[in-house]
Amino acid sequence: MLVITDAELLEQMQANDRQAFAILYEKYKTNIYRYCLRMLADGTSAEDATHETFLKLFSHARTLQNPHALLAWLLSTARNEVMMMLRKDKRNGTMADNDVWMEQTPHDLIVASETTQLVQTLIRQLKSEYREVLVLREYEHLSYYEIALITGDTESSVKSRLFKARKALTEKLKSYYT
Amino acid sequence: MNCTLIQEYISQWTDSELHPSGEAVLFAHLSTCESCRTFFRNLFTLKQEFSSEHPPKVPTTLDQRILAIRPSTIAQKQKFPWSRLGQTYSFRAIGLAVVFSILFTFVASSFWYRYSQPQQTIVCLTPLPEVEVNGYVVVAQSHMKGLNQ
Repeated sequence: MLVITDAELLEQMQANDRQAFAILYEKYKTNIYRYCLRMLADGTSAEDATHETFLKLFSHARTLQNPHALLAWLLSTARNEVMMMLRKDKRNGTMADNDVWMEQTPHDLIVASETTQLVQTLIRQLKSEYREVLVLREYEHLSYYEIALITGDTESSVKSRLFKARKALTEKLKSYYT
Repeated sequence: MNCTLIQEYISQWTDSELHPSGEAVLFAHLSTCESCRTFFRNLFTLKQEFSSEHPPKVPTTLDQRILAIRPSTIAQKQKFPWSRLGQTYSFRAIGLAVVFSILFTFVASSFWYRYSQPQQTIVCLTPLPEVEVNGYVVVAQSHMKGLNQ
């Protein structure tokens, strides 16, 4: 079986090969859409962010510094799009207040019945700084080093935020687990 | 040992990112601390919840939108780069920034005009007269350069 690497596909893209772009899109679309959807919690906004990300891939294919880390580049680009959209959302607050949650007592929690649904609701209630490390770790299975590269933070900051997010989630779910 | 630190170790251990030296400390503590054991169990259950989730299906409308990208789409974007400005900052903020920059330019240029011009020198060819008051001779003083010469 012939295996084509990302670097080769990017080279083919530079030669205006649309098939190469389609293959790369098929390969990474779920990762990018899932990340955007988990971060934005809105299908339409997630679609827009994913669209912008692949648009950037299309236009920057010639100038990509490290084609071997394409997923990291795509996630980083998607993150910029997501953050741009979240910046307009005033609910997020600031990181300075040291609180993990956007709202103290989300009404949705009372409504959510299944634990999986509850976990989803709780993730949506996390502040974006905490939600992003959790999403990148739990759904994209990235290492702390890779998460730090994407978010532009240090590894120790990633560790700390991940722990705070998990701690907050387990606190909320404590009654369901016992 | 501090339970918060141990729970941070647990979080790292579940990601296989804990240093081996920390691992020994972690399991020694777990054998004695019930609250940390509970956190360990709950975190494990939480991670199972994450892994049991099905990935969301990418909408076909998005597939169509992205696969329809042509070089002309990019050219259109590059032709109007300011079209996304409103997505980053609100138009009210942009308007305020424009008004402030106009005001700043006006104030700065008026200050520059006021202080950068050379001082005018008036040269008086006729010296001012000396006046005698109570036996003293008073010479009229002027701030104008060259007036008493």
